[in-house]
Amino acid sequence: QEVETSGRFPLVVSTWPFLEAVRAAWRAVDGGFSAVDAVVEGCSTCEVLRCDGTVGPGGSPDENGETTIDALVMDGATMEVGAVAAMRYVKDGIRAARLVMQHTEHTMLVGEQASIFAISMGLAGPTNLSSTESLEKWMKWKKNDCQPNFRKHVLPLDSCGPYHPKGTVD
Amino acid sequence: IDNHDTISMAVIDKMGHIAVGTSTNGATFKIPGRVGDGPIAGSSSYADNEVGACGATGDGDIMMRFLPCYQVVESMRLGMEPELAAKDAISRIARKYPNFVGAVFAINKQGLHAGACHGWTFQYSVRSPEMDDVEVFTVLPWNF
Repeated sequence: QEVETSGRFPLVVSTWPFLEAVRAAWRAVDGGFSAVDAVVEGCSTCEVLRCDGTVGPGGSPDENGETTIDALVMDGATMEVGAVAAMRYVKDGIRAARLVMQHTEHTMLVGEQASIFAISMGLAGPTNLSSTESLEKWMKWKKNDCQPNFRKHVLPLDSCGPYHPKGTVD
Repeated sequence: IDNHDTISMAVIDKMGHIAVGTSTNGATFKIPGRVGDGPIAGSSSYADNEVGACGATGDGDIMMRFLPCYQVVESMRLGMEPELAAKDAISRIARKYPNFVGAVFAINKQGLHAGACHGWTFQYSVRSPEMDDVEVFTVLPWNF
């Protein structure tokens, strides 16, 4: 499964057959943009296209039906990293991560504070990250007694809770 | 599993500089506030111009305990080829979590690339100057 590229550089590699994302990154890097900017163009394309519903807004609702974004960018020349985690109300995850890397001394911002930072630095928001599909999926899950879920060693496990630790006095 | 849960991407530019990025909206029906491997450097992706880069996808709750992409880059730093480095990183997780689902791709600074996966068939995409368009590579689950 190992392939030697004779043409060498530039080079774009991505998980999954996200063809439009790779093409966008390729156009950027082949046009002379930096590796960081090409990565941002590529990942941003998947956020806009909502690749498989698992990148960008409108997918993967949490237990409350909300979509939140995790993103990271890393510059292998300087080892600088920018990341946002559990970011609410802002759909541009990878661009927010680049803002953290290029305009702060930090590595990661999280939650609503990450949203406030991203919006203050020029990204669109606050916006609702839910979609008709993500809310329908969530409502179906609620009707199915919140199955499956990621809880363990809690009661009641077979319904929506509220949960409490199993085996403790309540 | 048709739920490709993350984009993780590596780019080497014309200067030979390497960067990586990851973006995801996480696991469906996660507990509010849950953060996966996506924003964790060394887990979902890692890059070092001196060595190469790595991208990962899969069960982030498990994978982030092993920093698979940091491991891939460190293995290549010690001289391992990308294919072996990728398989080694995946096998370290599989030994502890035989049911985990995940994958990594590895590229070295020369542009040699490979993938390894566990629990599902993995595909990764490549575009280089010798290709007319993006090419998709399929990696079958490795039996460790």
